[in-house]
Amino acid sequence: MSTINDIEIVNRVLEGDRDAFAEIIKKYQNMVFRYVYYQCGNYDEAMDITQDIFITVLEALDSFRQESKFSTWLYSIMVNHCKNYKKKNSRFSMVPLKITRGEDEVDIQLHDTRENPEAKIITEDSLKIIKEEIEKLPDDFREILTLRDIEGLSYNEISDILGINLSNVKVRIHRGREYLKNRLHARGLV
Amino acid sequence: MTSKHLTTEQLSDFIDEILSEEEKIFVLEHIKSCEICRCELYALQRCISLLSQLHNECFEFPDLCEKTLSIRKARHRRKMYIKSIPAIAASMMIIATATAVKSGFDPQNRAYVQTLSAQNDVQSIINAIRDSKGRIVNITSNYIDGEIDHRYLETIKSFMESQKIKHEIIQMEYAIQGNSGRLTNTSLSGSNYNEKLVQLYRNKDRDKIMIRFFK
Repeated sequence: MSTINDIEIVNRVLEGDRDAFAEIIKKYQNMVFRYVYYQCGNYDEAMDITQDIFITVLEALDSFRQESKFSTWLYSIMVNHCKNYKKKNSRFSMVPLKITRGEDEVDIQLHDTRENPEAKIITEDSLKIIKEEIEKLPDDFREILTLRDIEGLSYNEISDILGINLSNVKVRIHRGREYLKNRLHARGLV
Repeated sequence: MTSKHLTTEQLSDFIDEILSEEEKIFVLEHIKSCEICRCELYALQRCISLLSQLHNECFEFPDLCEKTLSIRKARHRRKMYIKSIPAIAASMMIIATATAVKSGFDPQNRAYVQTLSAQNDVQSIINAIRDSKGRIVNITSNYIDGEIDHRYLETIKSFMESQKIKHEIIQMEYAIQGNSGRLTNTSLSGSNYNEKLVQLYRNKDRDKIMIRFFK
């Protein structure tokens, strides 16, 4: 259903209704921003890249053949955009996962919907550690674990987005998970 | 139970529920009796669970729609402007060329006349004599003799040199012969004395110089 909606919106945009694209931005901005943020670790930078990704998507919309889901196509652009940005900016993965507001740096706020305060404290501590460990992951592992375990995309979608076969997707996921598990184990989290 | 522990691949695929039914039963049976693999499975599940928690993270950001679309519009305008630069440049070149050609064909335009003259030695010589307030005395198939005012001598010499036109001054020093008032070329004497030439200079003032320009 959501795919049908996406295609309807895409068709509206292609027919000249550029403002209809706002609906696509609203729908995917969280996902795109989250992915970019976990790849670069800097709020402001992630914001700029997210905007660039949506602009690229809008400008490339003519080339969307509707052979795959719109979201898959958008995520491919997102992944490639991040990779290209990473190549151009060597500091891309070196910035800590913090929001920069002027001279101040603050942790990203997590809105936990659970009621239990104890669980919340554990979660916040654990999440702080896992964010630090994500930052230290090799690019390939961070990329694939973000898509699979944070965004919950299927193996097939990941295969389409990254342009690699299913076996490679599996291998990367296994290795990435094992790498991260060992890191978290060393920090007493698992 | 087999003594061999489960691999991370097996555990990972078990969590993702992509194992076949047979493989799934095998893993379940194994972890029931193997504490090490059970712990590994829990650790991996915990790891994935923590990652999936990040999906719920909410970020505060400004209205991305308006901002993105306005940036896109601005970039589009700039792109269009950049795209139009070659067209503008081409138009300007066409206008400049047209203006140059038009002014070049203007008979009053001295520069263009000089350019044309440079292509034609005879025309160059004639123009040079004319511009030096001089006159043409004699034209043969090999040379042109021109009489010019002595004030233009240096100018015409340098012009001829620049045009690589061979030339020489025919030394004429005049003397008025007694009461006859005839002009005599004192540099020529004896059989070289050319009465006809001297006749040409009769009644002329002494500031004139004759130059022979070779074609």
